[in-house]
Amino acid sequence: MKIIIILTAIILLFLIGCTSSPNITSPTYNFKQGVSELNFRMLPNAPPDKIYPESNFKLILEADNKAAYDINNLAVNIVGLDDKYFLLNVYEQKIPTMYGKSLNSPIGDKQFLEFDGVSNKLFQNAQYYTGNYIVKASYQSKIEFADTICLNPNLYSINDAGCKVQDKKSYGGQGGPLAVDGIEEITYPSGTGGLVEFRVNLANKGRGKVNTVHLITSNLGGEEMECEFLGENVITQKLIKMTNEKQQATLRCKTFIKEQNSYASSLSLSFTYDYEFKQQFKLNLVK
Amino acid sequence: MGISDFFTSAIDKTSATTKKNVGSGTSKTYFPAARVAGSAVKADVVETITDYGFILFFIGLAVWLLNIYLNPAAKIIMGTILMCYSSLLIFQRKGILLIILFWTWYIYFGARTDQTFALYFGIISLSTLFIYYKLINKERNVGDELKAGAIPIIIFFLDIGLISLLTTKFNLPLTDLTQSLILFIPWWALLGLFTSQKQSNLLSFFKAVGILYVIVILVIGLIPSVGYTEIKSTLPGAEQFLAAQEKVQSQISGKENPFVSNLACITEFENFQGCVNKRQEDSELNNICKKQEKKQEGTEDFAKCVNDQREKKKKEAASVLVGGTNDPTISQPTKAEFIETKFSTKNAFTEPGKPILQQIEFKINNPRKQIIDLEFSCSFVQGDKNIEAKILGNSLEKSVGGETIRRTIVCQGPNTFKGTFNIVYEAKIKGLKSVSRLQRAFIPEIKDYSQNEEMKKEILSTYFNSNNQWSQGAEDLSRVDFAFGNPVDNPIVEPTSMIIFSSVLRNPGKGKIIAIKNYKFTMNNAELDSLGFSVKSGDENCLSGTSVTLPPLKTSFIEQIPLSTCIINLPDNFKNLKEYQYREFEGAVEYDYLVRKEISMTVKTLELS
Repeated sequence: MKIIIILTAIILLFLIGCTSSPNITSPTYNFKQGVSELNFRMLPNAPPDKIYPESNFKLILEADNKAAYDINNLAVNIVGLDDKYFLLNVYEQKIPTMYGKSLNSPIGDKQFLEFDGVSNKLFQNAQYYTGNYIVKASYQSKIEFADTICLNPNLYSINDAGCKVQDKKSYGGQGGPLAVDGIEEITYPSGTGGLVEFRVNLANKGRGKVNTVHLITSNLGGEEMECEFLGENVITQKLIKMTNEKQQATLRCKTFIKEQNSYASSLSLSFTYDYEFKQQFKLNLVK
Repeated sequence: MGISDFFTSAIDKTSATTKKNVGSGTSKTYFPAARVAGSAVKADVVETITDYGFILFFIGLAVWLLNIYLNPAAKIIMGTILMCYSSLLIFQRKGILLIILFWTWYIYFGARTDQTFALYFGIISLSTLFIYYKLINKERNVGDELKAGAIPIIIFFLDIGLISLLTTKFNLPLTDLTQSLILFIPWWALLGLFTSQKQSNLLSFFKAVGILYVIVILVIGLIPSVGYTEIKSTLPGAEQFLAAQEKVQSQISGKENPFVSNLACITEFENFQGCVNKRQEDSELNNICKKQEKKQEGTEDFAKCVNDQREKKKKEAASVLVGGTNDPTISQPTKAEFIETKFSTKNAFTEPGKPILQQIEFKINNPRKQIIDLEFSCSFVQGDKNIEAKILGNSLEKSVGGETIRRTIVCQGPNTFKGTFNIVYEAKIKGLKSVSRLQRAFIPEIKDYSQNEEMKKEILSTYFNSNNQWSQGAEDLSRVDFAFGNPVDNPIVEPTSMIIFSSVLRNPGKGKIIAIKNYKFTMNNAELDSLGFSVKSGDENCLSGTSVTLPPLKTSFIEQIPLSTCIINLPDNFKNLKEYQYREFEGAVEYDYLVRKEISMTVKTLELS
């Protein structure tokens, strides 16, 4: 009897010990969604709410990259300050790279730009002067788009048990100011396969202005697709300039699929772009 | 009943009477038609002149025509009488209580608005109205009473200068229409005419003329527009209404009544408007030379004066390109005035043979601590006699400074004066400076139209969203206004545009600019010439100059003196920009100013035993 109990206990021990533990996967978060971008703010008291005549002050600009991509060649300019009242030591500063949000850096990247300034006298016996100015930032960044889409060259098939093609799909952004906000899929059946055309709509969702957009990669199921930008202001097939009035572009990609039944495949695109945005601030000179 | 109907009825009456007599068998007696018509006219006239509305029309018209001879107190008294008359006789005592309460508050209490007073007076007024309309006179309709009371009150305001006040205090534009309303509409007369009750041909005729008159004045507006006024906010008393009316009338009066101008030019089919404009201008210039410059009509001097005034008008017209505003960041401007003190007696006794002494205080608020020279003088004026009097003590002071300057001025008059006369005090303030600033944004040349427009939009919304496309200066005795751009009030300067530069010295004060010593325009304390700005065409001394000659006219630019107008070239560093630049410019003018005050005085000689 004792042996049976001991054996049962050992077997139980093995059973419990050898049971696989619950599947603890490492935490994942997709930063490449939504619309996020570089933000600016002045630190409290830098500059102070009131600046007195003929005194020194500092402008400390916090640049906070909330996008999911690195920012390169950031140039920050202070424009519009009248040096009759406020004089800065520099009016332009550059940051080579600011990291985007990632697992290694979930809050993105923050940098501080300091501008030293000195104030002059007020006009005559004025009580105050308000100097509005603009902080202008320009940089390059990128976005990456990826989605699984259904391809079905056999449009006339009734009994296809594969995936369902979605003619149009909408997206809420890929973690940057520039976003792929919609894709249209058009299939042309052809013999043993079919020609698939994707019309990708790119739009500026941020507060600033996109200048040029360059297509870097375009793949469908790991194979490169032939793509070109459509419409006005196309510089080359893979390079387009967005205008003030039209901050969007359409990219057309085509590929031939040999399969005869429907199947899901991964579509991925990546772009680089030039971006510019402005923010207004003010300095108060008081008696 | 129209005029033709009047004569028709008179003829019908005549015929009826004649036929009656012919058919009756009596001797054929002929009644002249004129006698019957005469009776009808007599009845019509009697009917008209006994109408309360017509009486109001007549009195209102007379008061309006004699308006220039009435002093402010008399105008208020007449306005009160007509207001009461309207309420009692035109509106049959409707609204009389409202009018009494209004008059008590507005004239007797001087339109007080302090809280305590407002509370007490408000309660008393409402109680009175309640008791009267709910307990004493229950049958009266409160709504009708209020309407009937409001009309005379509104006419009262219009008559004493509501529109003038709106132009001077509340920035109502002084357009052709408002000027016509101020000068040429006899409000009480119109009220009387259009509230007349009786039916008579004569009244109908007057009404027709009245309507035609109003149409001519309002629709065919003839007086050119005047420039900027500044916004102030205050609850005006009657004196302020009248002062505003006087100020505006002094600007635009002297012109011929547009109704008369229209009638005189009625045969000028080809150039009707030109004829009317010329008549208006001529009447204005003649009036200035006669009343203000005191020139004798028909003399060579008078003709020269009219020419000088015409030239001055042309120069002023060229300079009205430029506007300016008071700098909102400067709360303490430079001000100067004579102040009557308790020692400035208006009624005095003097011993025979002894000179008359009168004193007054002179005060300058000088927040920028300017160093100035002061020169005082005084004179005694009685009718046509104008005798220079003596300032006791030092009448000339050089290099006076300080934030507040106060002086007691004692004027010694001749020992022969007695009765009622005016003492005129004058102070010449020399070396005053007016400094104004102007903001402009210089943009680079951008070929892309939409980019260019976007940049301009950004600049306007960031830097020019508070009426600061014009220069801003302290609300001093005078203020230099200047601007440049294309048009001049465009604050964005493009490198390729033709840039017009214009400047004036404006006189918003009550005194007179007597000399302009020099003027200059700078940026960051450097003169524009030295920064590379240059005159392309026009006045060579556009950007800086000395001694602007003022014509020897008494009117001497009451409102403004043009300084310079030209086209300028930009320096190279403003043409080849990569990014826009926002800059502030300063304009400074050194000038002399005359402050004047007239005080009425009565002197009686003491009878010594």
